[in-house]
Amino acid sequence: MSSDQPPATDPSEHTEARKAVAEAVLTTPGVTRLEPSLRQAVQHLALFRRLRGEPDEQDWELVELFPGEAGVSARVDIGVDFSRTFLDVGSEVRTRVRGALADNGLEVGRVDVAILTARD
Amino acid sequence: MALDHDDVLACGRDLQTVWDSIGEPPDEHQRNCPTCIDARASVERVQLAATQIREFDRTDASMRPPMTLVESIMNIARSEVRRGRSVVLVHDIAGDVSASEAALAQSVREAVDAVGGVRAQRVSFEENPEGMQVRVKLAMALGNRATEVSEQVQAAVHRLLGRQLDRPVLGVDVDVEDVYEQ
Repeated sequence: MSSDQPPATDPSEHTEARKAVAEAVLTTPGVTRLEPSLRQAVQHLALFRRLRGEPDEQDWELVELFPGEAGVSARVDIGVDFSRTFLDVGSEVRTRVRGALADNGLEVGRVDVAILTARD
Repeated sequence: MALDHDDVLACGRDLQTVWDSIGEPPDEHQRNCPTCIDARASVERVQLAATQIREFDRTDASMRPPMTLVESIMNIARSEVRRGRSVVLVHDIAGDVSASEAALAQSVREAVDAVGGVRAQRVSFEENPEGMQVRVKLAMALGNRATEVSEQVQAAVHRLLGRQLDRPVLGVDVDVEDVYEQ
């Protein structure tokens, strides 16, 4: 997450939109997973969740939405395989995320997609 | 301890001033002001409690985080560092598409290993406004010619990154660092 971004929205907000974004990302050919940011990873450590009696992490919880003047912005970190170029996969994910947000009635701001890992 | 609003005391002094003076003798106002005397006593009690709790945590093994938790956090931190910098592939008003150097390096390793007779070891990138310079350090199977292998690796990396990055690859430096028996 870049330092100039505002804090992510309350996790309880936009749950349906985040679920739709997660599905749109994970059904993109070439995408293998949603990657947690360092902050999310620490927050979602299984041990923490178990201590708090929370269920296991869901993919949509890794989708970060940020309120902004131009609408809701999104940050998506992904892992990919080598079936397509990074450029193709990343661009298609960005398009799909924009679509998923718009389909949920949100005004869409920036959508940043970061490919963090690649493996067969 | 009487607070008017936020952390300003009823006498007009702020609590931080009282807090900062703990450990030092009270000034004249603090010696005579009932509010400050009360506040000072409260802050001293809080500080004593905090000190005791810290000491308790330090000496009670059950208060330390389990090693598995520490190790999990360190693994995440290490993997975050390993991902390295990001290379921006697309930058426009709709948002950025970027790839970590770790992901790009893995992609380059795959392309190099596919050449045959070589194993990629370390891959690094240097970006400047004109494009990207790539350095590949590899091990070569005995019996191969370093110049031929290097040319094949350079061609493979150029092809791959030309597609992946949509930006000029200025050059691909190949260092044969090791040899191995097939």
